[in-house]
Amino acid sequence: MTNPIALTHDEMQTLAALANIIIPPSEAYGVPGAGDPEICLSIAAGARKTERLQQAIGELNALAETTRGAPFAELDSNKRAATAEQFQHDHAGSANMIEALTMQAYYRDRRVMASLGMEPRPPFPEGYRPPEGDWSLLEPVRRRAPLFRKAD
Amino acid sequence: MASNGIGTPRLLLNSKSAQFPDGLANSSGLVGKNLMFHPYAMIQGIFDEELDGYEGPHKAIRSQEFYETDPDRGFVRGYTLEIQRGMAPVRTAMTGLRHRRIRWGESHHDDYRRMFKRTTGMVAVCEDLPELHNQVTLDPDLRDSDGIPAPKIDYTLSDNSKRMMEHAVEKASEILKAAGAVDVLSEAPITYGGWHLMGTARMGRDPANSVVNEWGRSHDVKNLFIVDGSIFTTSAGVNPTNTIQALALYVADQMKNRLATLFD
Repeated sequence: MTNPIALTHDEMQTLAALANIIIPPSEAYGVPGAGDPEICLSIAAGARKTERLQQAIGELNALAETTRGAPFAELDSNKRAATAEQFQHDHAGSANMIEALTMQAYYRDRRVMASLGMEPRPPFPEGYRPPEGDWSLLEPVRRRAPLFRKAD
Repeated sequence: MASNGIGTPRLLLNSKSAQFPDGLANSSGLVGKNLMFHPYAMIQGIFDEELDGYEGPHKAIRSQEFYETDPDRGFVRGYTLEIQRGMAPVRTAMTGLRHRRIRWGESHHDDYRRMFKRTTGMVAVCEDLPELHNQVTLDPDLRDSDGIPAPKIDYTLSDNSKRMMEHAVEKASEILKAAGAVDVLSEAPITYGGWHLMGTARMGRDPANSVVNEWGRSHDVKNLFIVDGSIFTTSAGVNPTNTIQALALYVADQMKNRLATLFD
């Protein structure tokens, strides 16, 4: 996994493990979990302040080590789930931040959007890139009467 | 001047001098007073069948059925219901999680698909009342990077606005259920919107109880005109930008038509 941002390998592993608990992969819907490497990079890149994300990951790992004796990513799935639940309760601000970043990254992933019947592009106006130099999209605007009042 | 409901009183209150010891244009003592927002209630219905979802204009229908005062409702003034389209993918997820309709874990995908393209609803834009104790003053300690005192906001959501939102949630829930919603979510007030800034340099003819006159000129300073949300005397139950624009045009016309005697 290439990591263009400041998270360490261990931090990315922890983030991926938590993201997969928040949204696990689904065979039924044919979608990856939020811990998928591409999505995870997008989660990390979405943080406004990387230091704040690192702090939240640190809190999760500290909680795992204190209560279950190992870093979060090394716990078995039951212990991870229990730790994640406790993290939501004890560190609500950090959990909410990671949750929001996860949703923002996951639901714009092209595979996830395809499973929802969407193309990965803005819906309006069609969201396609117009041909270079073609300004015909502006024709209706040019034909329209002015919306403004001219200065006397 | 056009710094809106917080920036305008902040500037005026910071502009103290021997001639204006309480701040510029503040002989009435009303600069910064009567701060109004728009408390918003959000009500969303989840339907069994697929809807048009996130496509279409954001705000399609407005209703002012409950806009005017009706004494039987237990509050004065009223609200506009703005019916919105459904939510795009990320917002569906965020809303579902916040209202515990979508959970972490194995159930996430089924939870999500029960909401996505199946949710629509409305917001109620409630008319906040002008109240003297809701105000912008200068913070005694906090300063910006230039050392200028920062604004300090004191605001208490009134019982009138709370009752108005409760009414809106009840009526909107009724509407959504009648339309076939199998589940209704509500949030009142929302925290992510409605922070329209109004009322802190109110307009009026009497210099004793207003900051600018009926055409936007300060009562105290003849070459000072204010054209922003601070000159509103009431907040109305609609978003304020169009009214601010209309007031700016109106005040500009007044200035132009009165050029010969503008500063008399």
